[in-house]
Formats: sequence, C-alpha cells, structure tokens
Amino acid sequence: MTTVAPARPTVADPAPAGGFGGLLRAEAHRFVSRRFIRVLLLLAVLGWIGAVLLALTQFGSVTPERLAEARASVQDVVDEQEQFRQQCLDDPTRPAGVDADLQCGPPLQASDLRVEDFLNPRPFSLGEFGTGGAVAVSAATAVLTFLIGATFVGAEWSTRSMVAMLFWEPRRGRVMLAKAAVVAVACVVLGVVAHVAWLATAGGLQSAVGDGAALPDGFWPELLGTQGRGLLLAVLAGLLGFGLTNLTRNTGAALGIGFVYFAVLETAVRALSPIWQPWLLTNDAAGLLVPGGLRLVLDWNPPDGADYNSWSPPEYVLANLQSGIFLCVVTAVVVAAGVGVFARRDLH
Amino acid sequence: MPAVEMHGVSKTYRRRGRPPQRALDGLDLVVEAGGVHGFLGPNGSGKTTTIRVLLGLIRPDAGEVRLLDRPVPAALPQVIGSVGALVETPLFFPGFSGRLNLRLLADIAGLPYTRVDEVLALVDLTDRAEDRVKGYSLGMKQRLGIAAALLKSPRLLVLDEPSNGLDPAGIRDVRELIRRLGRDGSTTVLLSSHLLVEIEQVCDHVSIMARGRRVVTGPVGQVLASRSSGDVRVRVPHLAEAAAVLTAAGFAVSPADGGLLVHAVPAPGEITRVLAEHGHYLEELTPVTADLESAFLELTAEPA
Repeated sequence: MTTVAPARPTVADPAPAGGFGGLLRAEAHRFVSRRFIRVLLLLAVLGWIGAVLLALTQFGSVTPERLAEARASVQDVVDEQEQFRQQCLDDPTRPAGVDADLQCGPPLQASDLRVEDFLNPRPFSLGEFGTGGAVAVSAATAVLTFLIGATFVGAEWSTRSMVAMLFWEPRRGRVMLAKAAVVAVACVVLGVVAHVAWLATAGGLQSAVGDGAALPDGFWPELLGTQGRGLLLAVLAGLLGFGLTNLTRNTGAALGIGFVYFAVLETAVRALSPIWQPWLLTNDAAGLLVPGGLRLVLDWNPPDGADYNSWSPPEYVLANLQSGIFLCVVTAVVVAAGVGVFARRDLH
Repeated sequence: MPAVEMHGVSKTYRRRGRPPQRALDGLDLVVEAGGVHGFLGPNGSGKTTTIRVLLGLIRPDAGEVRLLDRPVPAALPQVIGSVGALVETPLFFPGFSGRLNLRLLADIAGLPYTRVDEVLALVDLTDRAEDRVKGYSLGMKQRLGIAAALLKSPRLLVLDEPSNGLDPAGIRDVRELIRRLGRDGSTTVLLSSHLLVEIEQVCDHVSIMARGRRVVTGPVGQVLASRSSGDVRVRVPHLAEAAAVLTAAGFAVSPADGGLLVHAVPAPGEITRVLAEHGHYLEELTPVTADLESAFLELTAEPA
C-alpha cells in the first residue's frame, strides 16, 4: 500500500449523513449501471423489433390492383349468395305463407361487405388496432417493470449491500424511499418510451401498409387515455415487484410467489369461485387498461328452474377508476409492509 | 470526549422455535477518542452484536449507546458521516468495478470522485479499480472494504477482522495503516479481531468481552501487567547452589528451562543483591510477563 495520508475532516462536529439527493443520485447511478437491467431492456428492444418485422408480414398495403381483386371477391360472394337465395326461393317444398326474406334471407348487396376484409394480407388500420395495441404494450411493459422492480432490490438483498448502505444512511425509510422513487421514475420512463415506440410503430405501419382510412371520432382521447393508464400500471407493477421482493428479501422467492399467484391462485378462483373475479389482480389490470373497463361474467350456471331463453349470466363491469384504486391500494400495502418490516427488523 | 459509550446495553435474540439467546448482558464499554482500541472476545461473546448495535443495525433491548457524543440510534444520522465501518465480509456489488462501487457510496455522501481515487491508492487498488469485484481475491475485497470505510475520512473507524484474507504483506500494510490512523490523533479506531497478536501489536487500549459482558478494559500494557504473576526467570552458572541461597532468603524457587523460576517477586533487584552477596553472578534476569493470549484465555474462560 502507498503512504498517501487519508484526508482529515476540517470541522469539529461529526458529519451527518448525506442528503436525500445524494441517495437518489446513488440509486439512479446504480440502476443504470446494472447489467441485468440492461439485458432486460435489450431483450425488450429485440422483442419490439421482432414484433415490427412480424407485423410487416401480416399486413399489406392497398394498391389499385389488390383493391380490384378484393372487389371482385366481394362480387363473387354476392353472386354466390344470390344463387343460393334463388335456389331457396325456387324450392317447391318451401312452406307457403312464410316471408321469403325470412325463409331465404334478404338479398346480399356488395355494400353489405367490407372490401378490406377481402384483402389478404389485409392493411393495417390505426383506427382499429391503435388502442388494442396500446393495451398489449401496456401489459408487456407491466411484466417488464415488475421484473425490474423485483431484481433491482433483490440484488441488494442477495449481495447484502442493503446493510452496507446503512453505514452511509441509517434512516431506513429514506433508503427505501429513494429506491422506490428510482424504480417509479424508471417505470415511468420505460412506459413512456414503450408507448412512444408503439405510436411510432403504429404510425409507421399505417404509412407503409395502412388502410388510409380516416380515424374514427374519439380515437385520440381513447388511445392517449389507454396509454396514460398503461403508464400507471407500469409504475404499479414495478413497485409491486419491488415491495414483494423487499418482503421476501429474495428475487427468486418474489417471482415464485408471483407465479403461484397468477398461475395457480387466479386460475383456481376463476374455476371455483368466479364471484371473486373482480378482486383478481390480472382482471383489475385489464379493467384499468381496457377503455370503458372490463366486463366480467360472474356465473355461467343458471339457477335451478330458470328459463334458459330469458336468463342471462350476471355481469360485473370493472371500471377503470375502480381497478386503478384497487391496484394502488394493493401496491401501497405491499410496499408499506416491506418498508415497515425493513425499518423494524434487526439486520445481521 | 469518548468516541464510543455504552452503558448497561442488553440484547436478547428471540427466534421462533429456539430458546432466547442473550448476546449482550448489561455491556459497559467506553472507547476514548484517539488511538486504536482493540476489541477482543471468543466467538459468541457479543463482539459483532456490539458493533451492529453501534451502527444502528440492531436495536438493543436496554441500555444507552452514544457515538461521538450523540445518542444512538436516534442521532445516528447526525454522526454517520464521521463513522467508517467494515463489518465482517465487505458487501459490494460483484458485477460492478471496485471504482464504481466506491463511487456509488461517494454519491450517497456527496463526496467528490477524487476522494475515491485517493482511497483506492491508499489500499493499493488503483491498478485493479476498473475490474469487476467478483474477480477480486478475498484480500482485494478486504482492501476495498477498508477503502470504503476510509472514504468518509472518518473520526471513528470500526473495523471487524480487517486482516481476513490478506497475505502477510497485506496484513503488515493494514496494521501499519491502522497504527498511522490511530497516531494522527483525529481518528479513533475500534478494531475487533480474533488475532491476539494483532491487538497486541496495534492497539493502545483493549476491551475483552465474554458472555455478553466486558470483562476487562484499559491500556494493553496495564491489562497485561494486571495479569502478570510477578515471576522472574534467573540463569546462573550453579543452579543448585543459587536455588538454595534464594530459598534460604525466603524466595519460592522452582527449576525451569535450564534456569530457575523465582515466584511472586516484588522487586527483582533483591534477587540480584542476594545472589551477589553469595558469589553468584547472573547470566539472565527476566521478568516473566503475561502475554495477551494468556490474559485472554484466563479472562474469557467459562466458569466451572
């Protein structure tokens, strides 16, 4: 070792812990330096590129030739249908006194069919797929942020550097708050990037292989609203993974609990006690994302003696707001429990 | 002002399915500011629990703890910037480089990155600073842990087994560093070690623990003196005649290693005088001092 003398403090009073800003800076620095998170993000980018390439093979642009072919196909269907109808009308066994349209169907017009349905591959429709794509992107982002939240704090527990950090900032609540804040901000950034990527992708597909149709009324408010709720879900999923791992102090255990919950418990509840479906996390996630909420059928079995023709299964609509509040409460409880246990327990 | 004060500190671990385990039993410990204070005790004596209580990792059941004149854990945030610690195995992110690990800690304390390079140089890790910690040897990790503890330029440095995993040259360097820090007057080093020779070589003061209590404390020399028997080793040309002379003069004498052991001698000069008066001239007169190991074993022995 060299003989460099350690620098001496220049003040007589003992030095306090650094500020909260320093903690945030350290956590952010660690977050962006983590190899596993970089790998996860790289995989996400590769997945996105793969999805774009796949989409390009599933959709085709509208050319005058393809449009003419589609119109011809429409006309073929109309002609064929008219032929069947005529056979029906000419059938001597057809009961008399029954309305012909009721018996053999009304005449089919070309305008009753959508030409784009006869294009193969069909063109991309931003108006049709924009919001659904945002829902799918939100769900994928939520899975990613759950993993990131879980592994970010899990690495701290597995290396026990969580304990070492307390030599620098003994206020455990602050330490956890800084970590949770970085996870939340990272989830927001990731969500924004994912949704901007979706908009760019959808816009690109619309330009390259789109139907060129005008967007329906209310398209943008619905799409942006869905994306906003998707951002909220990304943050909640990240914090849920963070809180769960903090409680178990082990990433593997947290992911195991998540798997058992989603794959076993939710399946069991749907099969055995569907009345509880509104309280399942995946349903609430869908209820938060889907415009207008999620419509759930709570019971497929009619009661004894019910008239099958008039009975309809009971439905429950999980509204966006209700689902959002439920998910916020669950996340807050899990995170608070993890922080509370961390603040009180002895650390060895 | 003491750097560390603990009065009546108790801690009992209660774990489900196991009997309660008393780790600290009314511990009193005072470490005066400045110098190197050794902290000795057999396994399970409560050393690590004591250090964890000091650093706020474990909450005691009872007692008062003060660090740099501030109550712990309540005021720990007010002093933690002046306390450096290396407790057991250094805890770092194995996938990060040594430099990045220290920079993350510097971020927390708001220290400039130049300080990181200073402490890396101090522990001779500059050349390996960009390597990932998982490729470090145990000794390198230990040196990085010491660098992390020094990063804050601490007024109180708590080191738990800092020589673990170091090669002989590394051990020598660490001990020299600890001695230097202790000598500069502004740093107090609390050194927990099971290496008695390390404590004896490096420390000015020592506290010995057993069964969750401090059994002795004081300057190392004083602790050793208090355990010394007062025996003196004597070598002369004619052992049998000299033994007879000393016995006749009232000394308790026994043979030992080609010489004589004179027991419980209040003033060794008296032996010289008695033997010289009878024509015996000394080849050796050595007070038999207790070593720390003997003192340690005696003080920490389980009661019968």
